[in-house]
Amino acid sequence: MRKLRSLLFMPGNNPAMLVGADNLGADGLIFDLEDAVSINEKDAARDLVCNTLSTFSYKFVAVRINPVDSPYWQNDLTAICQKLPDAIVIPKASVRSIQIVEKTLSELLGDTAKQQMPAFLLLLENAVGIIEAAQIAQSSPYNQALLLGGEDYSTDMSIVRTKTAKELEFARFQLANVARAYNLQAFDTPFTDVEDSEGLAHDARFARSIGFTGKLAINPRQLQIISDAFSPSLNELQQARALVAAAEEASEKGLGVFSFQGKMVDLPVVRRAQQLLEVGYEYGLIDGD
Amino acid sequence: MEINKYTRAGTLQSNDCLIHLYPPDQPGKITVEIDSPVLYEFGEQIKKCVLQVLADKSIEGCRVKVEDRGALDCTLAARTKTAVERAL
Repeated sequence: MRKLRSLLFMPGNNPAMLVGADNLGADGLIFDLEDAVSINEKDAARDLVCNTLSTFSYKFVAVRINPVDSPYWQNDLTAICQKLPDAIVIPKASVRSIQIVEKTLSELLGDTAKQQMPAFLLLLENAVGIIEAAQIAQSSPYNQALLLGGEDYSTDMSIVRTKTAKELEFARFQLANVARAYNLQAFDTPFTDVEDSEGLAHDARFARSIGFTGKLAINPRQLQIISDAFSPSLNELQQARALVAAAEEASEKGLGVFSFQGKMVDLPVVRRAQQLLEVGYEYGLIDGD
Repeated sequence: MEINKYTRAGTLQSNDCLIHLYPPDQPGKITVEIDSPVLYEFGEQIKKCVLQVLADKSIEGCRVKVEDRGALDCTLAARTKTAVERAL
């Protein structure tokens, strides 16, 4: 799965939003069959999402199915098998729920399951999910990302969400760390005050600083701020490029450690600069040379 | 197969449509009534789209009322399918 900075939720029963969603500037979309759809409209949303996926192409689109302890998830999977999205968001992810989804999809897709299987994006949104994040991350070869669901997590923890999000720190550090350990992308919980651009920018920068690779969005207005926060700046990229060039020069001289702009540089620092350049290249911020 | 109870699906929001499905006026007959701001330009296409879904679902008798608010074919088809399945 290619690297994504923003994943925008779109309510699955709203045709105007689904049809025009790819022009909003998100790196990826999540068509939501779960919380954004009322119980009486689950069938309608499923049909609409299925037809929309069959009609339009998107840069990257995932579908959030209903939880496996609900009566809806099997019909969700059956419907989207007619035109598979790039990924499936598994809510309230646990080792068991991931295995159930994988088994069901394998049966639905038959012989071609391995070739066609969409990526699994795992929404961790309760206390057990955060504690068992490492097992969850390793539970399927199709797992590609961990997503933090801060609202449900707060409800499960019986804690109150605040603007500073201090109450989410353990979950955030844990999720970012586990995702990095198992080479998955990590998406931070949505920032729910869509009017507060400054708060979102601060929140997104913090998420990036602790290892998240992107953030969930609930409003198109949040997308540019999120993209900016999770993109390396031009200055960072120039510095990284200069450092990698200096490292190559040092390597030719047989030096493992060298001085760059007055600071000692060793392999982890060089690797970090290389990663930054790879990210810049992937997001189209620099050319590949 | 004939529709024997009233159902509906969709909304009256922009880019959507509301499909009303009724039992047929006469057995074995399908009638489609369309209310759309683009009736002149796309009325035939809307009707064709609805009839196609009814045929796919083997519906041979019903009355359909389409309240269109600029829905694309994929939306019309989805809403018709949902309405039919709610009736079965």
